[in-house]
Amino acid sequence: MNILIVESKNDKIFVQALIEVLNIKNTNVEKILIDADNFLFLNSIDPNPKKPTNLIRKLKDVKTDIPKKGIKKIGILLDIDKSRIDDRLVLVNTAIEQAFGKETFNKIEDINQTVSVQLDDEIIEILCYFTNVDENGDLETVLRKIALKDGNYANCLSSWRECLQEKKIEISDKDFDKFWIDNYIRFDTCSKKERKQAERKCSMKAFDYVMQTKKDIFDFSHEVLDGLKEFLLQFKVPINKNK
Amino acid sequence: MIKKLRIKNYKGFEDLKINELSNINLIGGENNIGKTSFLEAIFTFYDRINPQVILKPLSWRGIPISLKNNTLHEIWSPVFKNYNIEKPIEFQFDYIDSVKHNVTISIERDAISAIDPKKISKFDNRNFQQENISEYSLHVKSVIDKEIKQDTFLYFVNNNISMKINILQNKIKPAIFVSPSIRSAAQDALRFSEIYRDGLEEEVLKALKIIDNRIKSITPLAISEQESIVHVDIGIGKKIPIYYMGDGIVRLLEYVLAILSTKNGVVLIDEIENGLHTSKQKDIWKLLFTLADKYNVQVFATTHSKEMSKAFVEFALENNFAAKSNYIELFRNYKSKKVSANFIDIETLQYKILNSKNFRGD
Repeated sequence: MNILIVESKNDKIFVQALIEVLNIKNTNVEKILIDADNFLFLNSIDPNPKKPTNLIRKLKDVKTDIPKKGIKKIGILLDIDKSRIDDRLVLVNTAIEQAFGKETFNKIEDINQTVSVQLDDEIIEILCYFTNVDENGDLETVLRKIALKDGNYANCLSSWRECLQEKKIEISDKDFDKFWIDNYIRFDTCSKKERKQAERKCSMKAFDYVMQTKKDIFDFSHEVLDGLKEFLLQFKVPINKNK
Repeated sequence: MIKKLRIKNYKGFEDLKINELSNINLIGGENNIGKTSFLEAIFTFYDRINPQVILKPLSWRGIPISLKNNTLHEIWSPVFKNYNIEKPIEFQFDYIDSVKHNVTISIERDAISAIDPKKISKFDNRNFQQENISEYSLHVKSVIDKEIKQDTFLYFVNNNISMKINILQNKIKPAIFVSPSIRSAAQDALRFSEIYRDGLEEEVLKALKIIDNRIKSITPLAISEQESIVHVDIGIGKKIPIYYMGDGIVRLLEYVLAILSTKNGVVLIDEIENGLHTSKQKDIWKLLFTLADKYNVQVFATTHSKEMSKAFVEFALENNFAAKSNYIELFRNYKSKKVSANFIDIETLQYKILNSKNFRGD
């Protein structure tokens, strides 16, 4: 059984869509398998990488399920935001150490590197990846990068941002990316019919609907997804062997 | 205090390891996973010099011990894993002061040959015929830090149990087992009398007031030449047997008597939530934590109750007892199907309860 710890529900939805794309492309021998129930939500990352309380709690919780459910691999998928990869690795390694014990594993040195953790008679593999565009940003930053359709409504937000800057009002890159995607989904890729139910079909609140019915508004072959794909491909299992 | 333990070949436990124990240990798990057996195993460890060792916990379960229909060694075989007497029971208990204590219990054949009358224990002062000695005997061996402290054999002579002693350590920490299915008014009265003699009856009174603050005093009163029963004064003009009151107050009495009677020892409480209203559970944990801490008693308690677990966590976290409390989840390993144990610290248990996660072996 594979477990993936993500920050939010939208991260799960995007990853599931990407897995679906990858599994279609892959051979019939293996497929990436992370059951819907095996996504765990972190909700927020602790600001201090040396005290990642949320992730520690999550890993300690998962640890008790390992011998009950046969968990073999744990993935940790976090946004890099404005951190550096090294700081995120400190956070992940600290959390693993606190949850599993110092003696049980070798530190993760890089993203997509798998380390083994000994837990009594079980050996678990853990790996991590940090969602980013050029080592910055989060899911919305990636979505903006891979947007495939014309984003006229969304692109005009740049003028709005400039207007604010003239008035000495700053919008963070994170918030701007969120606005951009909101507008891309709400206006640039929302059909006439869907606009009658915009909140349910054309918003990030309805991201699951978007990913199920409108995957083509994003370019899943974009190179910015290569690192994330490499991460997810490590959760392949032979077909007809579920766990 | 036991810090770490391992139980092998005892009832449903092929090889159960628990590497983190604390002052107060709450044990959860599904039905029939072995929560009560776990407590019985610890009790057996501490009861090992008793000729009734093993037989006592069996009798608590309502099993009549009869020598008529069983081959003699079958009396003991139910506690061996799969009734397989070829594999000895092993207990390995590591204490907080680094003392390592191993006890093995095995059934041996022809271990008792010529009986030297000088080695007959005080438990058996009758004359006997050697040809009536049982073929099988229960061998109990206890080793502390590589030194043998007990090496005894229990056997039957004319259907009565006897003990052959090679080595016997006399000082063992006390252990008391409390269960909703075992009730002994006489034993409660005896324990309370000793506590009363030691001037600690106020501790008992204070405890009972958690449930019923009408109680003004507690006294053991004779009901016959041989027997006494604990009575309480609730202000109705006469003292009444506490057993005429609710089940919860009787259970609470049993818990307090057990702790006050086992200073520096171990108390084992089965189904701790039985009879206790949710509104009183946190106060009862406060009582147990406080008394156990004051009298240096290690407590192991089993529960099915989410509310009792929640009260346990809340009290421990609010009152800086987190470091002195643990939760142990018994479950079946997904692969081997062996009964195994998860140690869950208090913060993680709180997280699981708040997020509706499984923690009772499910």
